[in-house]
Amino acid sequence: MALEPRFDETIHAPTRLRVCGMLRPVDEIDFAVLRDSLGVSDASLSKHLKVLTEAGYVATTKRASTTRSDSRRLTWVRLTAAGRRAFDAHVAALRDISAGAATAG
Amino acid sequence: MENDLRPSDGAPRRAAALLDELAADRTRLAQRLAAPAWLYPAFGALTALYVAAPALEPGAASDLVTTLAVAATLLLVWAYPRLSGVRVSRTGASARLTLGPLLGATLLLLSTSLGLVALGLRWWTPLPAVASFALTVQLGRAFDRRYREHVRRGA
Repeated sequence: MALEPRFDETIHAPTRLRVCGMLRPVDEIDFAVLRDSLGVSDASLSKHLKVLTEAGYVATTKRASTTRSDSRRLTWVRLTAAGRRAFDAHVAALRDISAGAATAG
Repeated sequence: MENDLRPSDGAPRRAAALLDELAADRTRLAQRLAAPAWLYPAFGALTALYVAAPALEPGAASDLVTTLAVAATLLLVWAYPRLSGVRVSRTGASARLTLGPLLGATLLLLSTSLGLVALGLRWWTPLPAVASFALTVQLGRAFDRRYREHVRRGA
């Protein structure tokens, strides 16, 4: 089935768009790796992940670390199936706009 | 960042800039996923150990080396994504195509090693073991390049 372009305001915020873009080609990423790759603070990333989680686009899992000796657990972040669909549709909408083939708003 | 994409003369340009930024992020992610220099030689050493194991006296020692080599390989496959902080299972068809020949070649070299031992040529078994090491390193690195290209394309 062809992908229907759909502009998504939740995803479109710059950091959230980049978070989804980083998560799209992988299964999951450690929170710290995602933070460092995007160059944002812990607080900023947490805030954006909360919005994406509430929208059902992102899920997080806490797991024990294979490298840490203390009891702190790592947070792994992944796109949900709904998140993948919404991101792909949003990117398709951006492509349409970029090509001047569609008008947004 | 200017992020308003309401209809205007600049909207296509801003959308293109956002798409470029996503592509740049994927490129950085693909670069980050590059395996450390030790990873594929480590896999190569383990497969070489597996291929060379028949040269040991049949029995506990040979079985122990085989079991350790297989267990260490599986442990490395399991642990490495957890150490790197990124887990990728969709590696792309091109990358997966390197794994079949690697598995087939390893089994062929193991058969060669077993054949050499059966013919009383035990001291020749390092040859298939070295070949296994070289093949694993080469095909492992090819796998690495291809799956990172898959990530970079965002497929």
